Amino acid sequence: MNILITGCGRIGAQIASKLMESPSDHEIRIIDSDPQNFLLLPQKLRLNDVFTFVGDGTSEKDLIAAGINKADVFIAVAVRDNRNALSAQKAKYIFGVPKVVCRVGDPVKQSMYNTLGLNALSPTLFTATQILEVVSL
Amino acid sequence: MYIVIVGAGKVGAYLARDLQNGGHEICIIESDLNKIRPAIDISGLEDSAIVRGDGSESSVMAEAGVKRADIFITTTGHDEDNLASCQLAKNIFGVKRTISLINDPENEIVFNMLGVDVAVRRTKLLLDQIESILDSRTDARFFSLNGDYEVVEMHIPQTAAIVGGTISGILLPHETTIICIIGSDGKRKSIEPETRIEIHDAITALTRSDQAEALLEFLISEG
Repeated sequence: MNILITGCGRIGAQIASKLMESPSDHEIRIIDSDPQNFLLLPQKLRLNDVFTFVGDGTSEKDLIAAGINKADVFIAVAVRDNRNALSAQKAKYIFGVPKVVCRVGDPVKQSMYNTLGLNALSPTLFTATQILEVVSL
Repeated sequence: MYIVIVGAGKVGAYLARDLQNGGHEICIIESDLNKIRPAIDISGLEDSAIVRGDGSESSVMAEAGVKRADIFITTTGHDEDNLASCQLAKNIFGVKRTISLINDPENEIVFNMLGVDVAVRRTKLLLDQIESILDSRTDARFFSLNGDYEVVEMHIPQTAAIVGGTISGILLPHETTIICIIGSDGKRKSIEPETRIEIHDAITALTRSDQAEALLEFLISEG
């Protein structure tokens, strides 16, 4: 599978590393506007310039240069909700990527984007639920 | 009407002033506290008409009463924030009309696809204005509409060949309609085949973007 990730924060770096470790042969590329963020990746990935791409994940030009037209999966996990939503909607509606996942902190936006056809996940809701579960033990 | 504007920059503040002068009830949402004082000075809004917060956050939008807004307008310098606000306004708060400024022309398509009713390109506005200034022969103004259409508004110069002729004698370019003609007395003329074109008539016409130049040439041509 060809997988494109935008945002190399902790979540993006974690997803990328896990995918690299997986036995199936994935082609992965991660986009971030700040090359400094690639330091979160394991060294063998960080130094591979096929793997990392410096650019703006909401820019169609940069997405094309990063190979979005070949992507089977698009994962938007940058820090800011609205940027993720814009990238993910471009991936889905302009580039027709089959599977699009988007991180959205605000639970209201999460449910809206799910209704609008994205796979939106909210770490906020997830973490809050987990904490409540732990506390009630 | 109740109109909520996101962004208290120059565009938001002047827009608020004009809309308020037009008798509308206005609320501005702004997260940068430094912009609020200047925006109040420009717009003349009461302090209570400014909601402090992130205009793409549903709780802040609820506080601004977006639910009862007739029109929702985003004017920030960040397209992703403008889009998210408009999508929330439309899908969560049920606002009928959403209008957004677009900073990067590339985003026009995605905005139109995703629930923004009117997307106004900042660069396009500037280009339109420069275009009309550059054409020194006329005072023509162009307004781009969605799709490939433009509205052209201009006064008929004294030297134009069509002066004295009637509307029936005008050969308009393809897909062009005269919307209205205001005479130099400030009164609207009816658009009939026998209506005469006179010096300084203000003509407003709808045309295809690729025909706008041809229309202009025709209206000002000295024959």
